[in-house]
Amino acid sequence: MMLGKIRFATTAQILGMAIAWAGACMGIDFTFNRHLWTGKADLPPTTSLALRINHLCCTGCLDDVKKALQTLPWLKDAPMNIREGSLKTQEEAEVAGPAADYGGWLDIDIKDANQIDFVAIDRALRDEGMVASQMQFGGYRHFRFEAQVRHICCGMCKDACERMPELAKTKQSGRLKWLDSVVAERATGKVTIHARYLEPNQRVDAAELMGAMDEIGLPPFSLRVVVSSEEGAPAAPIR
Amino acid sequence: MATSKPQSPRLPTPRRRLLAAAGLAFLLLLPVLASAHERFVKHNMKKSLQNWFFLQEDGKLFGMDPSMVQVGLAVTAVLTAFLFIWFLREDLDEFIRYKVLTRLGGTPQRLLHNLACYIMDKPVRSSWFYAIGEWSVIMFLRSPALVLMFSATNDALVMPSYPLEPSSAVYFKFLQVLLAVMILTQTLLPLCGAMVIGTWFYLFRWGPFVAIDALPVVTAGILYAMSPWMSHKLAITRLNVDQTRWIRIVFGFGFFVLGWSKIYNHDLTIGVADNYPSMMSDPLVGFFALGTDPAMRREAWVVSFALAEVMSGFMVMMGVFTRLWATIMCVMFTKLMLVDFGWDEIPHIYPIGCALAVITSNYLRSEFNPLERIERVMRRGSPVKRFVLMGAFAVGIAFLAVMPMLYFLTFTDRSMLK
Repeated sequence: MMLGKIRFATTAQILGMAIAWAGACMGIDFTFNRHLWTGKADLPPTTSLALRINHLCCTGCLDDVKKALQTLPWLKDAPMNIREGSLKTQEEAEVAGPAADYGGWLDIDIKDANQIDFVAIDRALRDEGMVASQMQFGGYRHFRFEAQVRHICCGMCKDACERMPELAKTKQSGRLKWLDSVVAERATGKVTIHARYLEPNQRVDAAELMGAMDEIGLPPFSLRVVVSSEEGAPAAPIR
Repeated sequence: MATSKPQSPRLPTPRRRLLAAAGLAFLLLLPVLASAHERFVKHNMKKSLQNWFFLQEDGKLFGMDPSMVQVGLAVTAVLTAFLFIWFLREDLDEFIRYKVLTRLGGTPQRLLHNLACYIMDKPVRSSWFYAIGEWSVIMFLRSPALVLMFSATNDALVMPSYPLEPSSAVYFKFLQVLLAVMILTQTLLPLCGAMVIGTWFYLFRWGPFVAIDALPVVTAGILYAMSPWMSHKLAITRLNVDQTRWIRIVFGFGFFVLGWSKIYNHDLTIGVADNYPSMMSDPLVGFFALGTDPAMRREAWVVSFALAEVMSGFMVMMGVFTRLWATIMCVMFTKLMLVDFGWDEIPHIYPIGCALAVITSNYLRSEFNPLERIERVMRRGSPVKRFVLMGAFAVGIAFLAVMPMLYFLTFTDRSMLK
């Protein structure tokens, strides 16, 4: 076999290529992850909960969403704001042309995060004919979700719950990145979902968690946030 | 048919200096901002630590908690003992050679001689050792590709601990697969090395803790960067002197820094231990924590665990009983992967490959050459004087390696981790 002269890269070549490669990675990051470079969260800093309502084209839709959410006692007096600023009135929407997107974000300021029940939100919205595709929650460095499921009859059910982060169905589309671990209690039907430590601008989507639980076949009938530590001391908010 | 690979020539001195200067300059540019980063394994604390233990306390000697000082001094003492034995290992070697081996013969003599050479980082002249060495280098050369593929399929960058943002994941995943294919086919290995090192530079964008955690990756980058351009035509089965040295230094430095970061980020350390209590029963760590305040058991464990890593990292970095400590690391990583953490820690496969490649290299050197030269010169004179001087060096080096940094950490602000 012809080998020819053996040549090595010089230090300058290696450093130059390494810096160029780091620059390329940074370029990809900057181009496609703009939201991570802004320094600020997408959400206002005081907002704990944001709902992506799939249909929110005018004030009529907003009224129905608010009406649905205000049936929940802990959301009755909570300030709710459209992130886009304002919506068309029903009259304006009547004559408006086609739009690229008919949905919108609703930011809700909630005083006590421990009151949030995502299943209740989903149910209330659906009862009013609306639906949220994303339910983003964040603002705390560390918290967990506690879900109640009706059916955990055997060790395999418990195993399915606890292996949720690694099951192929729930990993599709890069979901549940924030999920650290899951602990299921067979006796009480309680499933504790630990979130990983979050950066100040990070949010987790409870809707994708509910979707994952549906996909493993053990849907929750309640999904609450617990921001106190396991010893009972309150967790420090990061905002 | 694979061709045998000629040994790579030593790098010229200016190049070595440039490499060292570049490395040092880069380290000096380390940003001080620390961002919270946790391992992919469970890390939630069962019980909070007493944070003041790790900080300056009024009315205490040097403002340090006595238990912390005690652990620091215990580690210093053990490190001193290892350094002292290392500096005087030729006496030990002579004793084994002329007092023990001469009384033996045949296989026992060969085995004991090889064992002594193994422990004292001398070349082990044995065909099976060469064979294991060749296999280890091949494993170390290729295993990062498997980890890159594994990370790509898990939507992560380099290690599953670093999840990719969905908006950019596809690009990084394809690039990782490209790099993995180049590594597996040994195509343009210096470029692969630059890509690995460049990716590590990029990890600083997510904070120095992420980059520190990923330091073992750089060892593979160094191996590739120091390989020939025509790597695809060669069977690379041995590390040369410079590759061995730089891989050893970076590998040890990684653990040295990771040890200190365990004290800085003590909540994460104890959080992992709380979920894997078997970690808390390590005999060496238990020895370091011996006699500390029972009320501060968990805090003292964090410091002992971290300093055990600092000590082993320091010795590998400086080339003191490299094989012994790299073997311990190899066993520890394998145990963590197979027993404690399980599948989540499968990326540990390439630090294991790195440790094996270093262990089986017959080009191990120490960074204490000047002191060893002094020791050699002094052999003509009084042994007592030589022992005292080497003892003083050992104490001084061990003290400087452990205590100043431990003291400095008590002044650090951990608010960035919150």
